[in-house]
Amino acid sequence: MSTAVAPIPMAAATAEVQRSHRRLRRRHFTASALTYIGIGIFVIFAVFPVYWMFITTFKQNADLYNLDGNPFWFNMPATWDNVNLLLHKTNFIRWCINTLEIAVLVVAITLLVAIPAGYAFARLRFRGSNTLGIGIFLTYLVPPTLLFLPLSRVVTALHLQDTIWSLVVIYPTFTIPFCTWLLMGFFKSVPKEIEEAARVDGCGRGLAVMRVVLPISLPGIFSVVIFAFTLAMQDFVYALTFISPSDQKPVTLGVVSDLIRGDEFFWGSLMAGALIVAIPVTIAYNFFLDHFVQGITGGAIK
Amino acid sequence: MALAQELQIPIARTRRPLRHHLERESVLGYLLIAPAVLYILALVAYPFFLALWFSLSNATVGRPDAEFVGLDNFKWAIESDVFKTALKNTFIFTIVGELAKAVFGTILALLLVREFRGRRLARGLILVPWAIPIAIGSIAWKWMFDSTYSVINWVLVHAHLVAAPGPNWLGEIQWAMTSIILVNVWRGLPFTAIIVLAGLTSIPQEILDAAKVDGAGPWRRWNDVMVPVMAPVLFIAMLFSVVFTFTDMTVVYLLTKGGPGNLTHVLASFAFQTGILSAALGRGAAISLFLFPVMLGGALWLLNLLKRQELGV
Amino acid sequence: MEPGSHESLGRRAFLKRAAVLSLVPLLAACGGAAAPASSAPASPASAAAKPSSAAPAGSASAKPAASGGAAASGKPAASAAGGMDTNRTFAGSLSILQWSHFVPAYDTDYFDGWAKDWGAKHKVDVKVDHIALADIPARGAAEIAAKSGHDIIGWFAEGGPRLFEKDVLDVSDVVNALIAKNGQYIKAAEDLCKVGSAWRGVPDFYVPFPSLFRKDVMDKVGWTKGTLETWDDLLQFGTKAKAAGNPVGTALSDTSDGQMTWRSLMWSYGAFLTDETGTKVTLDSPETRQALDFAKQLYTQAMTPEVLSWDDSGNNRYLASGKGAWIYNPISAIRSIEDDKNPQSQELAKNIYIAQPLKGPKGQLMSPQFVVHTIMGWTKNADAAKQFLFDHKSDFETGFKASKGYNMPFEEKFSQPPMPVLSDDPKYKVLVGIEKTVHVIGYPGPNTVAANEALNQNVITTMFTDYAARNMSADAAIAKAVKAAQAIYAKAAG
Repeated sequence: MSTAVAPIPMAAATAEVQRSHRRLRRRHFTASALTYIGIGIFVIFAVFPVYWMFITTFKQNADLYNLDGNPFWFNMPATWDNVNLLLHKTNFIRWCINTLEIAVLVVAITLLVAIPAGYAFARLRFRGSNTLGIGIFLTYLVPPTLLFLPLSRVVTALHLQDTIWSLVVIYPTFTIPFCTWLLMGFFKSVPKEIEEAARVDGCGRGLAVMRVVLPISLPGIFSVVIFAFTLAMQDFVYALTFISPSDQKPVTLGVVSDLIRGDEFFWGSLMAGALIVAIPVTIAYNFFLDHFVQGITGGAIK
Repeated sequence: MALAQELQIPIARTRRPLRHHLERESVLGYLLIAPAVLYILALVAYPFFLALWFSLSNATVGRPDAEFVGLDNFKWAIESDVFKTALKNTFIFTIVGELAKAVFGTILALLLVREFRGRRLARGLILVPWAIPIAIGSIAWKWMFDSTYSVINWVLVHAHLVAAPGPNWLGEIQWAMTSIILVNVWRGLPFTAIIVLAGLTSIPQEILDAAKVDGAGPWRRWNDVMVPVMAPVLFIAMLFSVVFTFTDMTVVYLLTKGGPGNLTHVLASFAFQTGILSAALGRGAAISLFLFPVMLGGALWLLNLLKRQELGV
Repeated sequence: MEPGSHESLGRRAFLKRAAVLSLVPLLAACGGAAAPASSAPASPASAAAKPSSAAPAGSASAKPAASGGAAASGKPAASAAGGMDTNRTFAGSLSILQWSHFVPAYDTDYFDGWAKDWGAKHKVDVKVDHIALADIPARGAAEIAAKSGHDIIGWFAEGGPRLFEKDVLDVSDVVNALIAKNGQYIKAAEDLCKVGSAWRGVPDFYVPFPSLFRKDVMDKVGWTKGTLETWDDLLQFGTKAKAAGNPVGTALSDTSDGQMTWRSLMWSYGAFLTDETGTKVTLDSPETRQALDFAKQLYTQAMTPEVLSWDDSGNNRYLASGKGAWIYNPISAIRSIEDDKNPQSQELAKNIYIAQPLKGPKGQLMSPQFVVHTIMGWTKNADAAKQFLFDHKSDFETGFKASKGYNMPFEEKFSQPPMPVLSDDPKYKVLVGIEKTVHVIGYPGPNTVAANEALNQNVITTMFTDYAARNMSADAAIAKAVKAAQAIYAKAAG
């Protein structure tokens, strides 16, 4: 009797296993397919304008203004003219250097000021911490469209007008508040136990922070760097207000102001400027993102 | 010292190390926040109070020392058609934009965390919109929306989705508003994704593993484990993103200058048009600061919410 | 071990205070450290050379440096002939802020080089900064707020002397000397630059808005008149042209071109925003309704809907695309087509002709853009600035030629035929005499702060667009505009 029954369950079991394997594979396949499709949609959405900008960089003007042509490919031969104009007939290189100087300094100032402040708000209790914390946040409610007028008085009083130093001093006003808060958030999500464990081991608070908290919050610090850098690189209004000599301009101001002459937009060169700035920055951000995802705690979620 | 205590020997004028004082939370706290607070005080408080003064006066650019007029400017604003439109638009653009960014940004982050071939490339490409300076990006979009040369219309027309010439993206009000929101989302999505990604990856793996061991499915894991841990970061990022969009002028101004017919203005761009271009500083300041009390109240309420949620968790 | 003794309490408080106090010298040091860095770019001659030498100056305008080099230094300006002695030398620096000219050659081949040469001759370190015209108001406002910045600002199409009366110097001596030399200005110059009895700005040039049209399209549709004289002509021709695939176009949006065009239309129909005093809003009138009706007809029958989103470059591009049969624009639109080496552009340029501003039932009135220079109150080199502006306007012809006929003179004498560049050109000579049509913003009232504000708040253009394209009723559109205008004018009065 048992021999008659035994093979059936085995076969059934095998079949069941096979079916569940297939289901698993299908689920994996569906999951990957969905992932690819999802990513694909986002990539197209993000990149389609960038691709167009890229083509425009190398298009001749007549091609660009030709209503009958295909905007996504070259209808006339491609040309380096626009890039040449950007690199040789404008102060583009100088502008990039200015921007780099400004951004690096602003990020440094921001980190120096925001990391301690963020930690203080996250971990320490002291009188008025709530009020001050909110107060710092409130600076964002002050509209920049008007701030630049009184700020121009401040800049002039400091004799910084028409130099990049005016921007180095002003930009942290809008990077510090947010970065402080962001870091506060990241520090808060570091479990207290880890930090306390380090202190019990004999580290003073400072050492505990440096050895334990900061490394865990590295993703947060990287986000802050990215954010502060982006803000410093992309501002236009303050740059316009405080800097007029062409060789002191940061790149965003320079490109927009020198490549648009009222009627005439030098589209090819404008797009070239945008891409030459954006691509290295993207690569750098991507590099930072690697560190996010790999993470010190190996926190990649499977 | 310990020995002296044990022996009950009175200790007079013992010098305590500086570090000891710094260990006190309050001193340390104040010291650590001092640079930030002082920086802000020096460079933001003064302009803010000046703007406040402007809003209560009839200052113009050519005559900034002017007379106090009380709440006249605010009264003007309430009665102004353009102001009402700008107010409405500010809320619409912000809410719709933020929702889109939050939802899609989270989806994107969840996708980016997975392993798949070409992940690095995808991540890089997706970041480009954020890296392109917004002023230049807006100008590029303006050209892509151009009523004669629009690339988007070219695609739509050639794909037979619309009849030629295609929507007038910047000339008709409904399309203009769509365009502005679109550019805002296009540009802001990578940032939201980065923040969520950073939040996701800072969740210690042990917690997640523990949840899995407890039998929590993906949705439970998300809701009950991941979101609470990421909450402070997400919340702050969202708050600031909202505030940024709320006070941003660039996209609107570069795409439509607030047109057509002053219909796509937001408060920030209308403030600029009034205060700087029309040189009516007092009224421009009033427009800018109009929502300040509201935003302040809203921010305080939200922050309280965060505090309570934290204590509850 | 809890430090609870009095000593530590005192120490704690002391530490706190010390920490705060120590930041003060720190901040001061930062400010101080920044200052020397900033003084470096402020004056060296090399910095002056960079922005103005985009192309090396082919200085045809070099004044003979030899003459009067020895003679002049000590003479006070007032006593020399005409009041301004062009042989004086000065010292120090002079910085000028003005727009990037639509005819780039004007900046690169003429003005920047001329300024540099002037500086060399007069021993002044001259720096010219060009910014986009759209950015001038913001930049100007910032400088005025800071009471510091460029010595001379060239305002484009708005702003300037009447708006910033308190922040600019009285330049009556310069202007009177120029009048003595070049003769009277047309009235528009006074409207723009004179406040009360004092000249607060030096007029540079105005930019007229003539018709630019396609003669070949006229032939194609059988428009035998060969030109356009009245707005009605435009409507009729435009209707035919649109049917033939070449609509006409002018910005029905808030951009500067639109502001000029629709004012020109309104005024030639006898419709005005205010009365002659410039304080009472008179927009609600039958003439306004007539003008609105015309605009609606023009838009629906003759124009392309693309005009709704045009900025200032929209109509230029429209003409350059070969599609547009007519636009209302300064001649920079044709010049850039002529300058394009492309054979299609060359062909297109041949077919574009010019006509004077269109006439309406109540006259031929046109609202131009313009450039006027003001010397800012904070300048440390007022005399040099005045001499600069005097010398700049003393030579009309070179500048005019460099602008390819774009910079129309405010001086009556220079507006008489024969004019360089224009009179000898069969196409362009139609522009001679255009100064008779010029009226400034605020007409028939003065060019006031309120008038400029109404311009920048798009009161008129919104009204036209509301009625012509957004199907608002005339009453509603006018009422909306009147309400906005009254709010502006009421504030100005009070």
